[in-house]
Amino acid sequence: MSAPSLELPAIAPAARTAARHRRVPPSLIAGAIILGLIVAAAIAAPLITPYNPEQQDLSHVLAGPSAQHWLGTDELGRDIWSRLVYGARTDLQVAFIAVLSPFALGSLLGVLAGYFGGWLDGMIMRLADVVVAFPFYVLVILLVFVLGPGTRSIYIAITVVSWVSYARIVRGETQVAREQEYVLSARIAGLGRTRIILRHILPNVITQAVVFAMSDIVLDILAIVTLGYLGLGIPPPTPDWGSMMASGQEFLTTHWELATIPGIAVIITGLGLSLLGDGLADVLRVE
Amino acid sequence: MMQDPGPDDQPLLQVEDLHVTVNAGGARPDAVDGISLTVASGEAVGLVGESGSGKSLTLRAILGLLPPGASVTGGRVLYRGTDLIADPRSLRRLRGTGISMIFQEPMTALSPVARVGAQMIDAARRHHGWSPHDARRQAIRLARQMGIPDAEATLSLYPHELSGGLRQRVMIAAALAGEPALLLCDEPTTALDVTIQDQIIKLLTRLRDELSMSMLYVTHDLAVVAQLCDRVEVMYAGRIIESGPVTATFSRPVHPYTMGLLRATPDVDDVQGDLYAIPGYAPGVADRPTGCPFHPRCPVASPECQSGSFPLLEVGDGRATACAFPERVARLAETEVSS
Amino acid sequence: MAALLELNDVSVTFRSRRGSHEFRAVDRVSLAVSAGEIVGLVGESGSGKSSLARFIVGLNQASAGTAVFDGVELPGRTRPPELRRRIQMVFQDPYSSLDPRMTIGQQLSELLRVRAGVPRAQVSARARELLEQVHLPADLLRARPRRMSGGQRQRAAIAKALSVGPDLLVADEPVSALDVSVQAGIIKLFAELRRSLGLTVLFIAHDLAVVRHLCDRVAVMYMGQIVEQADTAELFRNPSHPYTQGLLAAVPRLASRPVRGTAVAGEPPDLSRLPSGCRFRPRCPIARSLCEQEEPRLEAAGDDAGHTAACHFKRVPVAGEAGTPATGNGNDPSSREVT
Repeated sequence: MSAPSLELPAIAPAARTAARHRRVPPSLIAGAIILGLIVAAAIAAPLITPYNPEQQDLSHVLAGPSAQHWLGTDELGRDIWSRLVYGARTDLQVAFIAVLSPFALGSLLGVLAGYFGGWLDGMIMRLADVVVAFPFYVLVILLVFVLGPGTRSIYIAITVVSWVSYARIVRGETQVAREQEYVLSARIAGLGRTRIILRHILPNVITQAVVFAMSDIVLDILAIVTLGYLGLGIPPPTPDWGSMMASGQEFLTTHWELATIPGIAVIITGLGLSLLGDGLADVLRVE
Repeated sequence: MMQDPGPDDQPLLQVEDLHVTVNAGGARPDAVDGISLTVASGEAVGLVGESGSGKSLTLRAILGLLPPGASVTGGRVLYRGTDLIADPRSLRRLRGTGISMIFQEPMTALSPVARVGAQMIDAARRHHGWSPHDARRQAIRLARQMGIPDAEATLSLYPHELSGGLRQRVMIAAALAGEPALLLCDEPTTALDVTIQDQIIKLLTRLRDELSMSMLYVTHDLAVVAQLCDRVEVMYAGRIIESGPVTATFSRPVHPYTMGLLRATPDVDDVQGDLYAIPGYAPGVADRPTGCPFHPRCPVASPECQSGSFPLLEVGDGRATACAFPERVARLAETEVSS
Repeated sequence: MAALLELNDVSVTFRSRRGSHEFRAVDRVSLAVSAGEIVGLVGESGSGKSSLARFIVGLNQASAGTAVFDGVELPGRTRPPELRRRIQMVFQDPYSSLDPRMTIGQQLSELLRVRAGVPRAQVSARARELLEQVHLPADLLRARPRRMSGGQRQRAAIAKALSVGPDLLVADEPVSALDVSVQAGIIKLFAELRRSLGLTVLFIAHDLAVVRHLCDRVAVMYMGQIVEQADTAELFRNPSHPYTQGLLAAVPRLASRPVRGTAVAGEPPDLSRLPSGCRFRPRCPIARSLCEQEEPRLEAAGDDAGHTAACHFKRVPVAGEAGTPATGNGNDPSSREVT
């Protein structure tokens, strides 16, 4: 820039750099590192575990930590470290899949209810009221009990129960967005409803649902673990943190680490996910 | 106009070389970049500027109410000689009783869950130690003084039950309950209808006389300043670029930006030729130009304006300008009138 | 000149949030807008001006009355896309009138492809042309709204409205959220678009000064009704309704000039509690018993053929104005309303 210009300045280069260098929130970094390590371990499970997680060794039952078994062995002589890492594999995978369908279903119903209102809104929200009338765990456990243990039942149960949160979040955001002037002007210009919903509303309301999904995965992991603990989860001998805690419980007085180690794994995973969710909320916010 | 008040004639509020940085840590320039101003006892000063000029940050810095991420990085704010920046405790003591503030949106300044009567005199009640009975009497007296109709009934309502104009009156009452010597105003009429704005301006003018109170009034509306203030400070890109008595400044501005603003303000009494639009846009904090910050939009800028520093310099009669070529502004005024 | 838009006794009714009582935000409004005209619609909040605007663009439905656009009656419910295209709107808040997640180019090309039927190959050229028309640099096509200033966003919003080729542009307070220095530029843009595109504009504002600078004709609304209507020059020279006079008197002035009339007192009206007779009566400085009994109708007033006002006592000098009778032959008793 040299001569003083009377023309309308474009966005100054300085502003561009400033915006591009927007600081990444520390919670996002921390969450990504924690979760990244756990996911990496789960993926690389065969490489970093010395034993088959299902292989029993009755000659080394309930052994404490040692050079052979870093975290010791359980009551069947299975290597705890291996079971823990493979457990992460199972639980994370199930939880991530379990969060997808309620996310999709809930967001869809929410955006429809919020945009069209009227009887459609009334119906969807009454349905949601019915679902939340039951406590989360009661309904999930009941459904899995009826459908029989296994991952398929877990997916169905979690979808039936947790679409409600997504629907409510997205409905509220949609009700705000549909009165935003850019949506009104799209309507005035005569753009079709499908286009308005898909192109102008959904991208602006879905972020809250994405952020919620992060904390919802934590909830799902807890649900899966709880189901495993109750014997309704992933059938043995597939390693899973819930069943590890359940079987370790018997030995709580003598070998507290059996139940505690998977518990700590759940807590750390939960922490990573909620940090990630927090950070994501910051990044996705359009100022 | 007093330029250098002696020790007995100390100004009520003196801001010296105030710097406020938003998002400290980054290499961003100061959003408020060395502001100095004084408010004498009984005086009303208008602080005018566009969005991003730093006027609201200046006001908030004075009362220690900066938003998160913003901090004072230099300068002093003296209230009757006490530095409020260095001594935040004295500031807390002064809030409400020495200095009060009113905001643009009373709905956010009032608590939604308390009756307006209680909120109005809460601070003052604690300060004076009034009994509930006395407090109520004081509240009714204050409400009447604010021109709140049907005061007794209105005081037992909640903020959302009041119209925007009434809420603004309640907020002003709450701010004045402690009989402050200085009232800081952050665009209190911007969100109101013209009719209500007019009523609030008249109310503030009357209260200022009755309570012999000083005011520092932040607004983007020059006409409001013309109605309310004795002196005006015009801010641009974090600095004061013109300062002086309202009448003289508005009739013969000595900075091209002030002149541009005046000509861009439509006149309801008269349509004389075209409205003037200042070319371009006010720069953001991150992309302030070097030299005189106004030079890219200035009709009388020359190459000298693109670098160097342009401090606020006195030009007599209590006036000051940051323009190095005030005579060009005078010439500009003549050419425009003759054309 | 045939009217491009003609409203006949249009009412827009809303139901209160809880309870079943209804109120008329717009009450039997008749208004004609000729092709190429810029008509101002002014009033306080709650006057119904925005509800009327939303009806015209098809966001609200009328509960009674008819609207004829270019010889075609606007249907009550769904409006055919071709009719929709011809009436576009610009909103007040430039921060919410653009989709925050799409670039300006994406937003323009969507409308151009889907609604204006521009062939894919010409979309980008046409988008550039639109930006040029609103005086924005072409590189803003790649920008997202958050990087743009308020003035730039408002220009982009106008470009979007123009992209589908409207005949009528309804502008709802398009400059009141903008900085003064860029306001004038947007006002001039409307005048320019009228000249270059033959665009007709219904310009809604609360700022009479802005209206005076831009509009050919002005309609003043109060509590859902038009209370006065005249050519701009006539209205400002000869305001006949006490509400218009009061609005004019309430506008803050840059220079201290004597102001005619008394500023409107009291709070903006509550539509759910309509007073008997004239709606303005409770706030009117010249109300008499007749005003309580009978609702005044819009009837000829002033010097101009098109000037109408709804007041039993239009033209009677307002209290406090005794020394300055209305200019011209405004006090001609023969034309005074004697019901």
